[in-house]
Amino acid sequence: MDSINYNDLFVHTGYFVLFINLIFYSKSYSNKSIAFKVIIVYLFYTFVIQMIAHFLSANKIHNLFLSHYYFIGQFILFSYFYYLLLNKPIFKIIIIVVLSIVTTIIGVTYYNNPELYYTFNLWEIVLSFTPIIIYSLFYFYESFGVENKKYLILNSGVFFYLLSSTLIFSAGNLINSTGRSIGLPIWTLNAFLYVIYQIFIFIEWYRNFRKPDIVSINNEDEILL
Amino acid sequence: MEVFLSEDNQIITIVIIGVLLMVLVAVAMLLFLFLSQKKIIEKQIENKELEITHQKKIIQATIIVQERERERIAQDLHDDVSSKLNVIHLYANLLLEGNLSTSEYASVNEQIIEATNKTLESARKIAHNLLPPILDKFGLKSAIEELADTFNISKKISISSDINFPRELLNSDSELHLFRITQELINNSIRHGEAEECKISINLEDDKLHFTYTDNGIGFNSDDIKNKKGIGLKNIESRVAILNGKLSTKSALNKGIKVSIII
Repeated sequence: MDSINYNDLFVHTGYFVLFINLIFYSKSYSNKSIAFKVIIVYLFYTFVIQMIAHFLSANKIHNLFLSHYYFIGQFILFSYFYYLLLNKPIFKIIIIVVLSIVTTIIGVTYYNNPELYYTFNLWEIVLSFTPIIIYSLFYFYESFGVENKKYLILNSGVFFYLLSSTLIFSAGNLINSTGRSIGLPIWTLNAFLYVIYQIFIFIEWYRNFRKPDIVSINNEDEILL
Repeated sequence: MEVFLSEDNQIITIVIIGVLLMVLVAVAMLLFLFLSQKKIIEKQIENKELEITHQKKIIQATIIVQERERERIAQDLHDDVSSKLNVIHLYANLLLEGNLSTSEYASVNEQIIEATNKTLESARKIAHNLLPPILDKFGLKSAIEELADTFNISKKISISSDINFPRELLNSDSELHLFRITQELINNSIRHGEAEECKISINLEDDKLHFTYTDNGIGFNSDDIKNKKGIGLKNIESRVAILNGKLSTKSALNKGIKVSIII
């Protein structure tokens, strides 16, 4: 009984922090880079999917098919985000190539096996999570030795959450097949990690984007000095 | 059923352990990244500070050189010009008093003319030392050759020069810097190096100006150079820095010195 409470607690905290992030990021919208706007779109997109999933599950309607929109949407948005953020041409080329290959493979798996739509698609999870984890490593590589680089905290959150949750989602079918009560601790763990991830995103906003843009230009000047 | 349940439980446990391991890996990785990031930045700051200290030292050396130069000019003006002007002043007063015989009058007049000539010569020398007019009119090559001739005549040191580069390559400021560097090096060779011969060569190689200076003096231990940089060498260093050049000094005890500058 206790773990049910924890699960609900973490899930709702996750919604709450996500909502807060969405509000704060949207408030700092003006005069920001495209990468920043991609993050806003990502937050909005995940928030909408979470709300629909919540609504469906509250009405006892099967909501697993939403995970595909979530995973693929996340993959495309983060690919674009890192495409904007990374500077080395080779990284940009890798992102474009991987994006086209992965979307093709995922499309083919659905064409060959349409019932995957109602379960977790293992290929989809592995292929859409790992590239993002690798892109975040690319970004760590590029920001090495550079002081006060932006998006570093958000990048850490992405790296941390995607790395840990890949295994959870990959085991999703297995966990669900064991019945709800036994699988619950894992979903609780996932909800907990998600809260931490959202807190990373919040800290990123608080540290780098809270103040209006003029101040952040001054910060960049300091880096140059 | 119980067996099934425990199997399921095991799978869940394995997944949880797996996820926790992933979390651990992620946290370790992040910690590692941030700590090494910090370290790298600390190193960068350290390097910057070293650079700043170095620049400060160069500035100090420049100021000291400037002060010495002023002192020298003041001395020259006082010894050569002021004293002679005093003499002229004295004679002029004698003339003013008017009670001189014709021969005395002529002699005083002659003295005045002679003293004036000497003063003029001194003033010209001082000005020449400050900025050789030949450098401005005929360029670095002629100036260094003239400098070499002056020293060669004085028999203190024998200087040979091999200078070959298009004149428009250097602007007048850069020429002056190179000229001063040459002067400083020759002075060092005479004063500290006890050298009898030295060679100056300036040539254009691979679009870069190569300045090389060698002498056969007592030299110094190359390893000590970092610890015992004199004002002269620092002065050269700061001029090379202004020229955006690269300075390298090679020397060993009793084997002379070789200074090369690439611009």
